[in-house]
Amino acid sequence: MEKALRDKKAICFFVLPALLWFAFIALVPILQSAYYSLLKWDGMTASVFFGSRNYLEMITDKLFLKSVLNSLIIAGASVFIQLPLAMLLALILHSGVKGEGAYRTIYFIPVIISSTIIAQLFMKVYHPSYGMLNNVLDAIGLGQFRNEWLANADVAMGALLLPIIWQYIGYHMLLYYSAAKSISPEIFDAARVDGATGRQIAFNITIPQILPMIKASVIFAVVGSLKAFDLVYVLTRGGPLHATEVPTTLMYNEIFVKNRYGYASAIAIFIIVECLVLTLVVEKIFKKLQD
Amino acid sequence: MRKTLTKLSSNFLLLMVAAVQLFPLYWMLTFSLKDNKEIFGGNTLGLPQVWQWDNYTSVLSQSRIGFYLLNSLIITALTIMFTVFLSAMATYAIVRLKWMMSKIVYFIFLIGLMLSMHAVLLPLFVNLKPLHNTYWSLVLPYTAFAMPMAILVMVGSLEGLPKEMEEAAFIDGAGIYMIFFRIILPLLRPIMATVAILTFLNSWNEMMLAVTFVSNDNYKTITVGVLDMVGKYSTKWGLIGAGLVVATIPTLLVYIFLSNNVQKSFTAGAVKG
Amino acid sequence: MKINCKSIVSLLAAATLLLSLCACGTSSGTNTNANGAAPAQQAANENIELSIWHIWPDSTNETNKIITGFAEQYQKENPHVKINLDATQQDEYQQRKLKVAAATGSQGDIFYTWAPGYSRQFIDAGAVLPLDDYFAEDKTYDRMLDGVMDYFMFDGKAYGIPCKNWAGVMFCNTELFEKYNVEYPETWDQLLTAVKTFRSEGLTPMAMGGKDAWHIGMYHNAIALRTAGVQYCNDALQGLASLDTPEIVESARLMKELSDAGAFMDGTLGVTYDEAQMEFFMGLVPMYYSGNWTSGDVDSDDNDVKGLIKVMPMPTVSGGKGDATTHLGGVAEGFMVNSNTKHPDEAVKLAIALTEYMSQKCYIIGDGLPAWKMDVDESEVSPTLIEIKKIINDASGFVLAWDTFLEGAAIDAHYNLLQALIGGTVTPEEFAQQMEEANKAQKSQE
Repeated sequence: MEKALRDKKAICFFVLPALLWFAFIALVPILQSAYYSLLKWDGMTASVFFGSRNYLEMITDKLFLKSVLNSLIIAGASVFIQLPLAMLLALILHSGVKGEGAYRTIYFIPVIISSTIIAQLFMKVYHPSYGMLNNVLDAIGLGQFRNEWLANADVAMGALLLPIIWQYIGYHMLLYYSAAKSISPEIFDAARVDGATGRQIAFNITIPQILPMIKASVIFAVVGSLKAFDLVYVLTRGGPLHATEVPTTLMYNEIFVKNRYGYASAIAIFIIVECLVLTLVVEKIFKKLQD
Repeated sequence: MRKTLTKLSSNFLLLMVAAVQLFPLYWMLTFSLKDNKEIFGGNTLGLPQVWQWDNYTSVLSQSRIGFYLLNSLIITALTIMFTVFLSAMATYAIVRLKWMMSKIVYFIFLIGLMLSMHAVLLPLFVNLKPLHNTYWSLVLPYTAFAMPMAILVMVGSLEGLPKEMEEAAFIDGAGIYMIFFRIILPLLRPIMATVAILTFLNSWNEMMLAVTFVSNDNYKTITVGVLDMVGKYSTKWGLIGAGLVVATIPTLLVYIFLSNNVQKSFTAGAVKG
Repeated sequence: MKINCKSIVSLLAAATLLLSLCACGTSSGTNTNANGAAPAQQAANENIELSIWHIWPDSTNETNKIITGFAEQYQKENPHVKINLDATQQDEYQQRKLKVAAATGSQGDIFYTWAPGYSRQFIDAGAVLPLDDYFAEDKTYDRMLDGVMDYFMFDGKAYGIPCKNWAGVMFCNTELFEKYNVEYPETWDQLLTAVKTFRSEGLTPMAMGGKDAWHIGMYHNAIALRTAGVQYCNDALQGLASLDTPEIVESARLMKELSDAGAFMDGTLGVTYDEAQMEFFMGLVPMYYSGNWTSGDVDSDDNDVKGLIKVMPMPTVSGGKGDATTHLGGVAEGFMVNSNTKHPDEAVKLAIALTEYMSQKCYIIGDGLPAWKMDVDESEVSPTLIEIKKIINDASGFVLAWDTFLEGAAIDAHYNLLQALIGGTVTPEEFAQQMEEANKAQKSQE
């Protein structure tokens, strides 16, 4: 077995098609971006070699640092609010309730609907004059909490977090649920015979068994948050007054409004490095958990 | 007694969540049947006061829309096919086969996940220029950028699966290829269906590359077709809503189809297991 | 095995690096051949293909019908020419597609674009064909209105064909003005009075969606025109004069005054332009400063304000240097020809014919004011547009919206400062000072 698993022909057969495809289509542009990040370049006319100056400008820009902080807030909220909720739903569904399949299908629907539509919906929810949120607050006698949700720099970030967290709950739930379904049913049967409660089964069997998938989903949540764009862009454009700026909205602006392709590439490379570092941290933490 | 109570309350919770999750679908459907006045302030969230079925007649009478749907289907189907199979193979090599670089290759793939597409629009445009105005100009990047997600999810799934079956098969004289096709692929089926769903969503809804790499009406996707209805200064939003519904229905159907498949493969796996 | 895998990976790395460097080399040079095929010398009547890129993809859109109809007709008259139309939604086209394509010279043979700020980059990159020789031969200037080429001249050469003129005016809902017995504002004080009266009646006085910063710019830029005058604004935006002057400070102060008086909807910084203008179309808001393109909407059966519209210039400011005959607007939209086109003569001929035809037809459908001399039966034109044309007939000058004039980082700074002004995080003095800094920095880059 050991020898067969080290068969280099087999390894090449399995890994090369995907790796070559990925390298030529995705990795090459990334390397190009890394190169652009060293240039002063508008994406069109002649470029000037700039060395590390884009990076120096970036890390000394207060707005950029704030945008990084905002993206970390989104990542934190995803990991500590979104994922536990997704896990709760997945466990309830997996424990076998009536209409399991229907619930699973329905819970995923916000993921199917594109972010642009979700953002349009929340623009209606948060609208300062006819928005649903303000109307509900009025109706239940909490009118003093009415707000201009997306126009008030103090609350806009919070208002933005709600749709970001909510839209992808179903996504993570589906990952957990599929992983839990792959566990051999005998394990559960045995536990039930031993008289384990639902909670004990969840914490002692299901969650430990699907730990690798939880790791994958944490990586998704972190990476997805750090490069979140669509919902932020449509809902607030990074505003009001830059209150909800994230690195990707800044980068978008640098490329498509300011024509600063070199600087924008530096932001893109920063995001990749930031994601890589956090991914490694997550891998380390889960390695400890798994042992 | 306590058990029924928890059961009741968990059922109630599930129902409430279901209502919330269905809300955007409801909103999109009603939105597509309203006029601008209702959408902007008159009646943003309720049922339409006047049902504007015309919105659908206008959208569907645009002869190209069926054509755009077909383009999207072809592109998405090719993307899913390549993504799922190539990623499954790579996953097997990364998780089960023994080689020095496996961890590094895995991380190389993960980098794809961390990339902001806006940043690579220009280099991608240049590199893929010979393929512009073909399906491949979209299938190649969609697949390349779907593989990291697929590999991450599949690695997460395969790592959690026991090796006994493979070891048993090996003792019975099966080779590595046989083990992959006969044991690993069936084992990965539930997660492959999940990956297919996620890949489908990403490539179906993708807009930036689809707009930029295609300058020929014959290769436009449905997402771009709907975008075309958005005017800069005046727009009939109900019409766009109808377009969005038309574009979203296939996603829903494919999702339900694939997720039934997920369900089936669960049971199939259970019998075998 | 160890060696094997390592070598594969390092090979890969080397290959990708090489590929990326090749790609860099071509992408920064721009003048690569457009369509990949080998360029061939064309005999006079050999069959050729020309592509036109424009921004009206919706086949029910009137402008789309104009272009499609024109292309059909042109192909009938010139059977050796095949026209490929490619239409893209405006935001996608303007922000991304055209920029990315022009970086490699692979935009359409004829492409719709915006002058002067937006297209500057394309000219600098050598992606646009100069047209002076063609214009001289064709006597094109004789058929254009005076001054329409101003923004299409770059470094003394003609680079584009202007298609339509635009002008900003205040759209007033006469029903609301009469109901609340408010005077139509011709001066700033009257405007403030109108705003305060409508506010006290519980109405949002003016439609503005501050989440789209350009929409704030429409108001502010028009006010700046009143305080600083046409000539000065034009000079300053071109970097020939300073934007940090008492007049520009005053324009920002007035804008802030308007905002503080409650002219715009609460939470305007969280509202898009289309959300805001819809309230005007629904007859809920009495005033809306916008371009002539809005006339099609206000005359449409879909909206509640049809027949209730009075248009007037932005009110004048006492002591200001711009009077009521000057307007925000100008000729900034039109077609350019790709310098990589395989058939420059045919492409320019087609572009001129198309633009002249569109200029006339777009006026009739209410999409733009004419840039060419034309003889049009005005009974077909949207009534509000005719009113706007009357106002600008004796116009003494125009200034483009600043964001079409400025370039790159200066546009971004302008947007940020407009929103910060409304949000109260910069003072009018800082607004003017930082605008000047941004414009100077951008101009010095070139």
